Amino acid sequence: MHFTAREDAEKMGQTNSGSESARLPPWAVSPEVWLMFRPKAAYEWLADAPEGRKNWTAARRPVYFAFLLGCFVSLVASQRLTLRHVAGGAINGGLLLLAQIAALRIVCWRERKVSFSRLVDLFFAGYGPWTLWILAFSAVWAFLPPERAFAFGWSGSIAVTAGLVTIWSVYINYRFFEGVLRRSKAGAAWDALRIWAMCWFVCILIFGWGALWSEYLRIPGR
Amino acid sequence: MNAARWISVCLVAVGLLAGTASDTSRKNPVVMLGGYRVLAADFHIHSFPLSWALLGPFDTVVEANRQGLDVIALTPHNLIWVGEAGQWFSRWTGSPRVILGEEIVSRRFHLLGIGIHRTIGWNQSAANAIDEIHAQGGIAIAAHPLKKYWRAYDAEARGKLDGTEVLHPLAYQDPKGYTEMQEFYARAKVTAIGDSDYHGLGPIGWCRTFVFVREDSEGGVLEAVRAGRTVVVDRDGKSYGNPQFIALAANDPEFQGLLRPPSEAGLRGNLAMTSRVCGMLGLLGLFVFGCFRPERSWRQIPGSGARG
Repeated sequence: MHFTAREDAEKMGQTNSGSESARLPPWAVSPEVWLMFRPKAAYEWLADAPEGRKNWTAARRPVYFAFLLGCFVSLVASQRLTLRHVAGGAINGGLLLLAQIAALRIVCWRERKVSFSRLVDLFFAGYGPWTLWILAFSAVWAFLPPERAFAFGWSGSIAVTAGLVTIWSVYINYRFFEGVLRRSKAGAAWDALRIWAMCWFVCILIFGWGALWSEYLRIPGR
Repeated sequence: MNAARWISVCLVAVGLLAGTASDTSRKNPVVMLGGYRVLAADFHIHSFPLSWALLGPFDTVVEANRQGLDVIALTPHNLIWVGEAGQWFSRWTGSPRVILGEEIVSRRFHLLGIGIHRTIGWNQSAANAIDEIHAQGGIAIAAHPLKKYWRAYDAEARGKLDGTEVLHPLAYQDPKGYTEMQEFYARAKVTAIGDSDYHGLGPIGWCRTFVFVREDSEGGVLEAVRAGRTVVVDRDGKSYGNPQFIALAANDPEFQGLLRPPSEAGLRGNLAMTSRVCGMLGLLGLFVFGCFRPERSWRQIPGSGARG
């Protein structure tokens, strides 16, 4: 996790300077996979890559992730992919992604070095851990009989694994702010924490508002 | 790499088509026992938003229909308007019947108010909350009454309860919790209820209540629960509820047919399996190989071989 793109390249006998590019690690079959395991090197390299079509660049990964959330909802709710579940889940989950984009806008309000559409694309490319988590839970509910899935996939394991994935994601985002936006270590850490705090706040509001005061904040009843 | 990506996209598309084709509803046969109509009900269902649920109210209603439920109660946490949306939709689609409800979630107890029309406050004792439910013409059901909630259900509250959940998905993941719910049922001596506490995970109505109604209406369902005319059958085939109806149900092949989950055999089952396998493989492929055409520079990396 501590190698830079240059170090990666030097190990493989190439440099990352001038017109030459670093050779990618052979296992990095996609930016998402590379970012999961070498986020610093990957973000430094990706930040230098030329930008594609701007409008689609901003939308493509959030739209794909919303689709993935829709597939997750469909697989856990009905053990198959259906249009109605995928569409509904994508719309509901899309609210969280919009919140994440808004949080990114707030954190990068004064950023001028990189266009916002590019920032959104690079930020969502770091969603590999969440993608893996979603696929794993989808597989549990899609393939195990309900009584075993209930035993495996109930609140405890969901909370623990989601917590671990959040920590992994915060680290990737830390590298995002450091590698793409050239923030200092402290600034990158602060921005990564801020963005996830905002995202979880919105998530809890949208999903858990009903019982927020009465149970989670432990306001005593009479 | 492009080929792998396209194969993944095609697999997801096949999964989506097969799954949608297998997404058909199940209508229960009309089963009469002892002069009563038997309805399959789930009184503890949550919908998006605000209640930690994945499916929206409309989708929840459609899913309940697919799983062969005749009656559901939408019970958002400490509010009812999400249930109103589902009830409006069910009136439009015709099935299943949706009864408005609320899960009153407090630190000390979780209580279902079914058949109510206004939100009931959580910041009060269980006995007072039950009084409010009754004042609105509803029924009060203790939700997953684990030992930690027993103190809130004092003798006064237990005397006012209409029912208690004796079967819940907790039965499949927490044997101790299941035993506690059974103990509470034995102490409270109220109507037995089986609910799925549905938040979007697994089949809706996985745990359900069979209600013996005089008439197929909201009033008929509430009256049957008040009168104790329910049967709940757990994972091991053990039955709870009114002994008279348990005996009637045990020997009736039509009732036994209601216990089985909707048939997934034949073409429908094959389509569902195709959807699961193709969908998961396709999504995994998109994750591994990346779902987007790599940037131009990705392909232009000297010596990067076949990548891109």
